Amino acid sequence: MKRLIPAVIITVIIIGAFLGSYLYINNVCDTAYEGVESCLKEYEEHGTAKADATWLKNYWSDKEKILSFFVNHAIIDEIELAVSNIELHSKFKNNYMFYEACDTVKILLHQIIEDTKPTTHSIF
Amino acid sequence: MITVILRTAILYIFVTIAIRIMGKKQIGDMQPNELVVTLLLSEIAAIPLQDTSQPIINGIIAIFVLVVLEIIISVLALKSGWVRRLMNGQSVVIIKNGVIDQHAMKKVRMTVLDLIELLRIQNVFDVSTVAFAVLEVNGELSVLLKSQHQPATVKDINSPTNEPALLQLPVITDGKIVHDSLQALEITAKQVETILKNNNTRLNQVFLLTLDRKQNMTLIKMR
Repeated sequence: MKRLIPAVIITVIIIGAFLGSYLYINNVCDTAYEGVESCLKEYEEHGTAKADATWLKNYWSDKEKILSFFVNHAIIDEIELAVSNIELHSKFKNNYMFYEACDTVKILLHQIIEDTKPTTHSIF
Repeated sequence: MITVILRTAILYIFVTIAIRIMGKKQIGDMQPNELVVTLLLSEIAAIPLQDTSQPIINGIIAIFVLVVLEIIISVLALKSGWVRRLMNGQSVVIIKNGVIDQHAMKKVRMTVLDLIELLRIQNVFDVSTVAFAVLEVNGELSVLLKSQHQPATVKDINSPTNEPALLQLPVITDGKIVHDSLQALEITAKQVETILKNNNTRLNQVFLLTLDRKQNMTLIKMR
């Protein structure tokens, strides 16, 4: 029975870690997703998305440190690269590359959220 | 490189904590579910070590989920015979009154050669001398010899000894007094010094000194 106490404590920690990470990841990914959307909107309206792209780059750079505790580091690095590309291609008005970078970020963010969700797909 | 070193150190600490929480058991004494957990622990710990792109917390959480499952199952096995039988299996009587139960051997998929080998490990070389041989759930064979083949005990030879067995404890090791042993034997460091004086030796010359409650001692000097 004495061993049940650490088991209960560990279970609470595990559930807390899951819920905390789940909410944090969803929150960060949703915000980043909105950031990409506003980059696209700004680019279509004004032909440049420098302000939003810089905000997105800073935002990702700020959040990726904590995200690396829970998310595969390779995906985080890929998003970081794609976010930098959004800023770069927006600056040089390289349409094709800009949209490609935006789509890459959106797909990777979606992948992170899907990997975090406990679905039959992610479990099996 | 430093990443690998730090990740290894972190996982080492967490695996050690996990094994400490699960409790002390030798590999040979493990029940099937404990063996499974131990095998999985080593595999899970290896993944974040080999692949540094994997977050270390995934490995740590998986380790502790296994620990929790192991504890829950062992507590349930303690409370319920059904769970115990389901998770650990049951002991099987293989030899009864010198006769091998071939049906039981088939059930546990054991060959006669395996049985003879296990008997030999128990210092039994003749099956007919065995009263009972039980194959335990951890794979070990427990053997009870027929009464006429059991070694004689002090009780059998009617020796008048009723004295309790005395445990010798290490009182000095490598020239240093072991204070826990002094407490257990209820003696003082001064008494130990007197013993050393009587044996013409000094504390720093002693490699090992063991004592029991009746002051029976073994003294080995340093070379």
